[in-house]
Amino acid sequence: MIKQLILKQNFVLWIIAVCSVIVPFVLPNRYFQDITIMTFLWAGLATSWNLYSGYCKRLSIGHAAYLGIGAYTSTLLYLNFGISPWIGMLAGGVISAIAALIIGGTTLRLKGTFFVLSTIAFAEILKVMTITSKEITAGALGLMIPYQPGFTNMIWQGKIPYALLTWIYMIIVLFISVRLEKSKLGYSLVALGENQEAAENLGVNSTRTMLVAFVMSAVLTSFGGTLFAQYVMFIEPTSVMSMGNSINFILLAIAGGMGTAFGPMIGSFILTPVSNLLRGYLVGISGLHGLILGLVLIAVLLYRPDGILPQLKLLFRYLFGKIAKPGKGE
Amino acid sequence: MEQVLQVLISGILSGGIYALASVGLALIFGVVGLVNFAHGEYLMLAMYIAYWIYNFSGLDPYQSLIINLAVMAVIGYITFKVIMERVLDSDHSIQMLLTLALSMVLQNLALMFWKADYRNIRIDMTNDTMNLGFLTFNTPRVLAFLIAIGASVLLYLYLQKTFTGAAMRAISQNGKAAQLMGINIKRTYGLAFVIGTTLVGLAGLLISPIYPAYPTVGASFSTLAFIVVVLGGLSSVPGAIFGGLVIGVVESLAGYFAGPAYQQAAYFLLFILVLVFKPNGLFGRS
Amino acid sequence: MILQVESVTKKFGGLSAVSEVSLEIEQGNVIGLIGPNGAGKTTLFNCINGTLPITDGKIIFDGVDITRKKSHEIAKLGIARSYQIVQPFGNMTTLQNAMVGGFCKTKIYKEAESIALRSLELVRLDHKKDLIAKHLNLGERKKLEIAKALSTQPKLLLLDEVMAGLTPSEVQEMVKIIHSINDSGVTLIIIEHIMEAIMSLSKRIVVLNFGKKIMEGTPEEVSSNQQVIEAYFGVEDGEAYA
Repeated sequence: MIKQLILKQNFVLWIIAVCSVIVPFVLPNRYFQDITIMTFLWAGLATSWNLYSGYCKRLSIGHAAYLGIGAYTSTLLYLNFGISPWIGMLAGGVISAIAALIIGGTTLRLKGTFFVLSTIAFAEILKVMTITSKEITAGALGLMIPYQPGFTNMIWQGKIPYALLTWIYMIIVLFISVRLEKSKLGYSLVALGENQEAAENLGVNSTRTMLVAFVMSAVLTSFGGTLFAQYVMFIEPTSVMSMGNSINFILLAIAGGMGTAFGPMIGSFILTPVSNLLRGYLVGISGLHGLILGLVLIAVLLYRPDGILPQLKLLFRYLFGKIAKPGKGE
Repeated sequence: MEQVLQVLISGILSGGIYALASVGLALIFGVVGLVNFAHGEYLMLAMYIAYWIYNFSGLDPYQSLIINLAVMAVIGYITFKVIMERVLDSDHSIQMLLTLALSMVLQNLALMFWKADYRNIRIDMTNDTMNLGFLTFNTPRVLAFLIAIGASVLLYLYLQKTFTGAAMRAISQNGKAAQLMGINIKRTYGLAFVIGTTLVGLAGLLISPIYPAYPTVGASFSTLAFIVVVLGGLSSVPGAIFGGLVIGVVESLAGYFAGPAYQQAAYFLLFILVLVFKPNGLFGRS
Repeated sequence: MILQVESVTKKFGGLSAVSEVSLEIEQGNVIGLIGPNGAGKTTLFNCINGTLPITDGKIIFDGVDITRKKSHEIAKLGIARSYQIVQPFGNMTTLQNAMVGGFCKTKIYKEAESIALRSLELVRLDHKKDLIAKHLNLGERKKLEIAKALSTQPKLLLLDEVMAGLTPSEVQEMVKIIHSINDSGVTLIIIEHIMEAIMSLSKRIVVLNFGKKIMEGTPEEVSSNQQVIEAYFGVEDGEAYA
């Protein structure tokens, strides 16, 4: 009984999430630590994306816009006014919230395809604006953050602080996600994704529900944007605002399990290292790495559209089932 | 004034290509109900095929037109059979993601085969111009425009005048009823998909003498085609033709008055305005 | 009066699906809404609960004018409805389905859960609470439909053909369930084609035909009225004998 309760409460998944913090400490070199940081960061980002699109089943293919807002806001504040990226991160969150309110206010009522296309359009407009506002953003050249280590500058010499920071980011977003699943907002959101009219008839205020979740998702993505900028120390419109990033959020979420709190994390834990290692090993054959990821995505969509999380849970159930009494199936 | 007129007509010429690149998307969306994010990738494939044939045999894109289109039709048929047919009843988000994944696969395949370099086909006609009064036009662009509009109109007539065309329109309006009337839905879906990919392929080979091929060339056309189709009212073929022309003109005027960097922003802005104020397209019935 | 519908009209294009229908219900009452297919019964439900904006007329619920209110606001005020074609949230469990309604009047998880559990008990579906809704059979889905609506803790519940497609024993069970809902103090309007059931459940019956109210009375009055018999059972082709 206790074992089953543990399974239901995502206990094992929490253990995985929390214990993953050990990984950067035991890995021998900077290359693997770098991959770990990216894995944490992408897990957090994909989980943020999932907060709206995953639960509500409305795909945003423009979330790179918020990644970009986060990265550019903190970087510009830091470079021009010497404002600490910690504060810049919050400022980016505020701007992302405003952007999401405006964008969401105009597009969230759009149905299906129209919504998806509008998210792409907004992201592309923002990208073009960033490229053309050369005086402020340096356009396509991008911005370089000078290397001045220090806590207030959110810059460190080694990899470990970055790993801890991105890990904390991931844990916070996960925690919000898990809380969401047990809240009125979460229930309303999932119900909306299943059947909007039926949900409204049960008292769900669809406009407000979607807007709140959309803004939350945008703000958390934007925080990730600041972390990205501070870690890579160089941003350009095509590296942070490209549709490829938006697609990667989706890829990770769907591989793990869309609309579940831990799915995107599991997706990132598996695919980000694989993808980085592939990129490293297949550097001679450009395209092969992307081709493999594309094929993986197709395979997942065709054969496991719910992602691998349900499979994983079955595995846990099996492992624990050996110990506990065999439980009744769902 | 002359310059504006030149810009305007240049916009219309590009618009014809955009129309051809989009009618297939509108057809696939209308008949199959599929949002195909990989649509532009077929344009990219056709450009590379034209490039390959030109390199190996010296045949220019116009001479290799038939072979190229046949290959495109086969590729379209294979993707439909191998992937799309399996998800016809799936969730829309799954279908969309699948086409996104497909575009990823095709782009990276292109990257593997042809690298990221720009590949140009330089035929004699590439730099030819023709004069019309005080206006000057690039011959391949005029040719592309004429063939594109011709092919789009042919598609329209096909849908209006033939039995299969009527079947497609019937499915587009009411899939269930059409099935009851004895229309073989899956076959018609397949046909619509193949026609769609072949037409966007035609657009690709028509621009190949004037536009370089590179792995992500299709992606920009995909988004563009989506915007065109939304302007035209999603599943309407005449709407897509008109939408293509509108986008061509808007893009061209924005480039002239605001600068080339704003071309894309201009049509995205138009797109959002239409989405917000006229979600059924510029001349969509409600 | 808990609900006053004052000459409500709903037009689709030029066609009136509901025209100048008025009705009043007292607190705790059960009203049956009958009429041939296409008489405008479901449309009237859609108008009352705000799914469709009405063309003309006025609707007052519990002293509040709800004519222009949105469906989620109306749900919060205390009108719930079930759908003729069941609309479960297919990928959520039965309990989670009901909890969406349970969150209508509270933000606290535990409260929403206990409200939902109570509604599931009332419709006798609590033993299936952890099943994914798309795996329920039709009878269970119909029950879930009611449980979802009940979880919003309505004062007025609109039931749209909750018995259609059920086996005779399931119909009997459903009649009992509806009685117990009414006993708990919920006012009901019921659309139903199964005459026996509706006659036994309703204290008053309203008959619609071509969007117009053609009569209102006790079950006995209605069943003996010639006009109703002609309209409802149809003189020429005898449709809807069920």
